[in-house]
Amino acid sequence: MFDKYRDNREEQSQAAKAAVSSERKDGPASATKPAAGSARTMATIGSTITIKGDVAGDENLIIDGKVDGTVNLASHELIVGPSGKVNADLSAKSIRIDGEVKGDITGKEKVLISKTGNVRGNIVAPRVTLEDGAKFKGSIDMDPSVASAGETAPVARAFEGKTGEQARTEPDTTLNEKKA
Amino acid sequence: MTDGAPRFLSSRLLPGVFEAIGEVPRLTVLDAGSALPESVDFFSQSRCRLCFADIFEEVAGEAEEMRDEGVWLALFNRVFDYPADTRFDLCLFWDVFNYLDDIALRALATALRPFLHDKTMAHGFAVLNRRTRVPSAQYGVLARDQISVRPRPLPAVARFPRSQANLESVFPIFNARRSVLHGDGLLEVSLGVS
Repeated sequence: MFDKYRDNREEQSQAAKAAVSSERKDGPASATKPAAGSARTMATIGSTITIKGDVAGDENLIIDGKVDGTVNLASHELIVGPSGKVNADLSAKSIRIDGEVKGDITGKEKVLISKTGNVRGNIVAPRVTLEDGAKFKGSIDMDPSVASAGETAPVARAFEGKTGEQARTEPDTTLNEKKA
Repeated sequence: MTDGAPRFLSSRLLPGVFEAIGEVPRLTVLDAGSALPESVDFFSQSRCRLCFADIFEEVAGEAEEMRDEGVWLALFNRVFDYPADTRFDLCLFWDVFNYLDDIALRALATALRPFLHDKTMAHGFAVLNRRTRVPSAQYGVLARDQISVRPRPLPAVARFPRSQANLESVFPIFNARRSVLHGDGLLEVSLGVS
C-alpha cells in the first residue's frame, strides 16, 4: 500500500549506499542512543542527509535524516531517530522508531515505537511494543512463538489472555525491557 | 480523566466474547479505535493480526458535512483497505456507534461486511438513552476482563448517542448478544454476526 514511495529507487540506490558509509566506532554523535549496553558500531544518516533509493548494509544504522526508498539491514539493528523521516519499507533484526515512518516494517525479532514515534504502515514482527504516546496507524502481525527458537507456534486462544488481576500482579517483561 | 493517564473499566462481557471466539490458528482483530500500548501488549500474547482503524480520527471534521451514504462508503472502503481474504474474528468498535449518524453507520456496515465470517464477535458501547453524555475517550484492552479508558486528545465531533435497539436497526450486520449497563449510562454490548 505504500509502493508509491518507492519510485525510482533502483537508480538511486548506489548513491544511497555511499551516503551511509560514515561509520562511527564510538557511537553516533546525534541525540539518538543505541540500545542500553551496546558499545557496537552504529552507522548514521545525519539529520541534514536526504537519501532516495535503497539502503542496505551489514551493520547497525541510525537514521536521523530523510530516506525515501527501502532500508534492509537483515540481521542488524535499525533506529529511526527523533528527527528521522522515512518513506520506506524497513527490514532489520530489531527496529526502534523515535521519528516518522510511512511504510511497512519487518522486524526479525522485535519492533518498538517510542513515545515520539509516528508510524503509518503495517508491521510484521514476533514482538511489537508501543510506548505511551506513540502514534500508529496500520496493522500489526505478531507471533510471540517465533521469538523463541525451536518452539512450536501456539494456536491463538483468545480467552487465555491475562485477567485484570494477573495484569496487575505479574511482572511484565516487555516493560522491564523498555526500562533497561 | 483530567490527564492522559488511563483509568480502568471492568468488563463482564469481554471474557465471554473471547470465549466465543475460541481456538483459532491466528486471531484477526479489528480495533476501530486508537492504537494503545495496552491493546498491543494484550494481543501480543498470541499469534495475532491486529488492525487499527481509528474511525473517530477519520471522521473528525467531516461528520457535519458528509451526508451522502456513497461518500461515507468511499471513506470506509478506504479505511478498510485490507486484503480481500481478511476475515476478522473480533471487531472492537468501542464508542464508534455514538458518533456516527444513521447513514454513516449503515455505510460502515456495508464496508465491513466482506471482512466478517459467521462466527465474528464484536464489542462496543451504546447508551441507556439519548440523553446520556458520551465521553470523548480512547479505549483499549488491558486484560481479558478489563478495558482501559483514556481521554481523547482530539476535539470532540458530533455525537449520536444510540440505544441498543436503535443500534441493531441501523447496524444490521450484528446482533446484540449481551449488554451491561455501566454507572455513567454507557451500555456495554457484545455482538455476534447476524
